Amino acid sequence: MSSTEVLMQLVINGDTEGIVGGVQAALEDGLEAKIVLHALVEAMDRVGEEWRVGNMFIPEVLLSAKAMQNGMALIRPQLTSSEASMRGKVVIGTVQGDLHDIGKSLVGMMIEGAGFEVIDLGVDVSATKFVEAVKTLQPDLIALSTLLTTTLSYMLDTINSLKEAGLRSEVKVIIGGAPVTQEFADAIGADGYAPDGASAVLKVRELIG
Amino acid sequence: MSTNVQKPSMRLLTHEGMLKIHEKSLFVLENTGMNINHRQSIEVLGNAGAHIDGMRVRFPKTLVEECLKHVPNKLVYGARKPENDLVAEIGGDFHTRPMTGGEGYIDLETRQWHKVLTKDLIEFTTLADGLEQVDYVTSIYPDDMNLDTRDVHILRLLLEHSVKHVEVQPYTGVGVGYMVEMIQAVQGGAEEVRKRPLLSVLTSALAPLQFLPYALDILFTVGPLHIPIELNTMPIAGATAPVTLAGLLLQANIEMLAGITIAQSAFPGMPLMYAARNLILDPWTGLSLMGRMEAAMMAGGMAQIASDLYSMPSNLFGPVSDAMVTDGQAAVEHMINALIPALCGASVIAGLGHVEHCYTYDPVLLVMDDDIIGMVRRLFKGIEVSDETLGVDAIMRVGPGGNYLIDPHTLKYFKSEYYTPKTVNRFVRGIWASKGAKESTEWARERARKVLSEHKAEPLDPKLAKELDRIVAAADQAAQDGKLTHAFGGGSIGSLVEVVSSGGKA
Repeated sequence: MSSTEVLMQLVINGDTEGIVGGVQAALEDGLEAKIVLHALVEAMDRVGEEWRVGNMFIPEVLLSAKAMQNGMALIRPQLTSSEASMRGKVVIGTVQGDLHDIGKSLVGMMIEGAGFEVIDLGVDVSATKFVEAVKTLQPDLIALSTLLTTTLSYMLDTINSLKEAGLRSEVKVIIGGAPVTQEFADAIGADGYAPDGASAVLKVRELIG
Repeated sequence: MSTNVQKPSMRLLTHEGMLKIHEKSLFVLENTGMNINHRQSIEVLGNAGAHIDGMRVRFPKTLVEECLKHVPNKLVYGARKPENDLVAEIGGDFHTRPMTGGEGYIDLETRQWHKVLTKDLIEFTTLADGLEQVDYVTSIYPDDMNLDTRDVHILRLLLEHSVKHVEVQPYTGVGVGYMVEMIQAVQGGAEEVRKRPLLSVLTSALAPLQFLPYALDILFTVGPLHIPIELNTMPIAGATAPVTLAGLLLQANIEMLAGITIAQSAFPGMPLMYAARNLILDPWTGLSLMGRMEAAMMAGGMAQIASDLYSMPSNLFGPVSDAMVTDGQAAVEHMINALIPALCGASVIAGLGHVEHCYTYDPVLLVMDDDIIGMVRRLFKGIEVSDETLGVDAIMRVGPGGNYLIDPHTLKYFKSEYYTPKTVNRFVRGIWASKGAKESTEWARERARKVLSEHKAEPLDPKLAKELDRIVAAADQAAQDGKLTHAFGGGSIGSLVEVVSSGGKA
């Protein structure tokens, strides 16, 4: 097995401790940080695929993501900032008025696992806070979540606020959650909609990957 | 580490109620008795002290109670591959088998009904062999076979297409002789057959209160080798048994005790399954129905009597249904009828894969039953309470506001704590729609296709296959010479008109 293949297996197996020794050994052998990064991201692509076809389960995918992050921590000092944000930067949050956390966190972790940098703003995030985050963090994409029909309108508010701040063209917007549909996404002018975690990852990759 | 699991169970009769059924059974057996239309049985029973009046046999209480003592409380069902051997014992795990004796088949692809053909028998048996929750295989009656030796041909095919234990519902004592010869050939002699019999046979009383010659011919043919018998009766509440639940239980128990007394008088220690089953006359259509809640309750009562009163393994319906196709009715009826007898202590849950009151097989439903049984088996694992499963450490580790998504405790248990049904929808609507908006039956159909394309029973040794063919040919020759004629048609639809033949299907 090549040294990159060894690293990939450690990520796929969710070996959160083994990956540390693995990356250290690879760096000592003279493997470039960029190559290590590539291997880690490719491993997560494979994990994502195994999950989509039903061979891996969410806790295992998240464990693989954790392994990848442990590996990333070792190579980050040697990467340029654009390399370190890997595939792109995503800001995620549950919209104003909604305190549902776990679904949004899960999607965030899955997106992170696919090799994106994810900043989680938490729950009950107002349109103003999203706009602020876009200004300061300059993400490539923001992901809005809600579980409640009553808070759907805050998704529209957030998109309108981005427009008013002149930032709409700077960032892609995807939305998700139980009451959300493709029709709703189209109606409020979101760039994409994802009905579940697996498709959220695919949608992010399609838009900014 | 301390572990604490409550084994799930249900009881539908009080102890006094069971004793009353037992006492009244003995009372009827002693006073009214049964018609035993079988010369050898009458001889054996007469010698054992029964009162014989022509065909009518009255059973002394002491004889019945003595015979009950000889019934083994543990049975071994051997299999062509020994890792598929089954042990049925009181307090042990339950096992499962498909329905036996049906004559209709719903085609996997066209979903059209037709009479069972040999190719359907092979398909259904291959599927049963490949599904993990189906523990053994059973006889299906193809329409394209000679009636006289059909049961012998069926065994030949079951042996080829399954490595699991085989149950056959034979129709003649002569035919059964050829079957015994076949399994001796497979198992290498009588000793091995006695130890872990590859074959069990179903034989049946005919309600009310009769045994026909063919049924006891079967018993006397397999008795010397202690091949297990599913001792069956199928009284119909309101037609061939009292209309009340308790009355049906009583009459079924009388028929069971008579069968037990005959078997144990002739072959002490012979392995028997208490396989009383029940039908309910529908007062509107005249059909004998079996999918109802009361049918499940009666099966539960029988399981309880066998297990708690007689310490005897039982073989009962089981996932049964009156539905015409695999639909919501079929799913509901199969679940309640699997669950209740299992909870009441049944050793075998019989009837998987059929609709239309035991007449029609559907491979799609067999796949759904695989999930139903998987769920019931999960129930039987119970809720384990231990320091580990309580997850005290995990709760303290995660703390307020955290999550358990990749906590080590989650990773350790997320698979083993749950049974995941294989053919149910687990999507949000958009994803479900993008995958073809399929009902769960459609996923079951796809799984049936997959199992059939991937699974094939380990082939028989060519020399053994030749020997089996020779035995089947000998049976065919005997039929041609007029020495082997079927005593009974195949399974018959449970209509009032055909009530009298209810003993011939199960």
